[in-house]
Amino acid sequence: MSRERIPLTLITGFLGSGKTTLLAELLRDPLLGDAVVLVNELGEVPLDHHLLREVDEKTVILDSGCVCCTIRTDLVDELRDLQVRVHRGELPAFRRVVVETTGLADPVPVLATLLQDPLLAAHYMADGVVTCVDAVNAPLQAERQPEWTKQVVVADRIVLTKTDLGGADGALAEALIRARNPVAELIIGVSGDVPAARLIGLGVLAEDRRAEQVTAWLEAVGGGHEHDHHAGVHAIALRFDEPLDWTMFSLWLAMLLQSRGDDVLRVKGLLDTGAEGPLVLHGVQHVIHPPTHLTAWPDEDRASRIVLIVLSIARAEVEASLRAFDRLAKPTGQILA
Amino acid sequence: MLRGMCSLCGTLGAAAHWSEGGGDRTQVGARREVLRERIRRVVLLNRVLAPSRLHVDEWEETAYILRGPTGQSVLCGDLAAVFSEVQRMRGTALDPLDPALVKALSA
Repeated sequence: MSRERIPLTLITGFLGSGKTTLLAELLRDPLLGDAVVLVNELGEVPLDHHLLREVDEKTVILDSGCVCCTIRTDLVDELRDLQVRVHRGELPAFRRVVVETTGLADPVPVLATLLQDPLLAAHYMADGVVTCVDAVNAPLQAERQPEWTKQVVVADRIVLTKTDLGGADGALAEALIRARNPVAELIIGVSGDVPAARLIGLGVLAEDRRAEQVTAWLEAVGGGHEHDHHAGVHAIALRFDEPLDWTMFSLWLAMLLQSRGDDVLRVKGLLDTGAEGPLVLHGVQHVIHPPTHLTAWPDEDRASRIVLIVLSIARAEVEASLRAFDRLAKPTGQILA
Repeated sequence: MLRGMCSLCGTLGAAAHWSEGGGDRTQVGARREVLRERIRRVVLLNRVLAPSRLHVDEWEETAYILRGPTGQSVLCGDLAAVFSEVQRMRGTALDPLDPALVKALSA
């Protein structure tokens, strides 16, 4: 893709986690001066709209329910329409998009939409996912709300809010977050007062940053220090010293996503497929970004390393399965070590 | 266009499935290399699907034909569509972590 794509930041977080307060603060920053902001209202009172009205016509209220589930088409339409209006001269050119989801939204379909719609894929690229977490209610939400877990798992930055309130246990909230997302930078943002530059312009999917992103995950989870504190969500780190058969691996992963897609929350990896450099794998649930080959390894370790954040899947069964599949692809004597 | 479409579904004119992009070819789009990889993918798919009595053929370098045990067949745009149709034909998804499948493939 030759043209520069417009970065899209997704702001998510459970009900009452401070998304709108954060967004209102962010919109004061000149970094977002030429951003289009898509907010969503759920319920009768368009609270978000009243709080964000300063953004004027750049704020587009989506009409029908949740951005991610029921009106993904609306999001597609809005993002397409923005391009059309710029071309017609009806709207000044914009350099960023910020989408605020509802508190009950699953952020993954938004990311999927950006990849799946050819026009959107040509014009936009996910810049990063910012998730607000309410330090007071985190323990309860972690236990009872699957949406909370999803929002934390996919985050690239997590803003921990309400740490100043009575009943807030920042350390516990952090532990709950780290069990589900060992890498995302955690930022304390009591009243949404977080510098925009720490949340906007992350470029997490930029070609030149993918290896760095994956390496951070491998370092956080690898080396046998898997985060298995939580009965449900945990990280699995796998290592294979012999090259993996990419064709078989991709088949295995596609099959896993079809059968256990809801239980596979994130996939990161550097794979030795026999080429000079590794293949970088990056996925969020069903959304696997097109793998890219690096020309060289980022460090001395040339083994294939994969991190999976999963629900109710055991490391042993993943490893046994992958080895069996890989054996099936190779002549005797070239199996995984 | 995307309403109701599962994010697993790779059809409806969407971008190429992610699995198509990770081969060892240095020239993306080198037709011979793409075809070689597709044929190899079919060979491996058939090894995996054999215990379920399902079979896949390559079709015109653009799709796969999945054939069931009783002769039914369906055109699939990519790997995701293949496994979606496998699930439909079997009535349940083919789980790579299923110990019985792992055992069958290891035999």
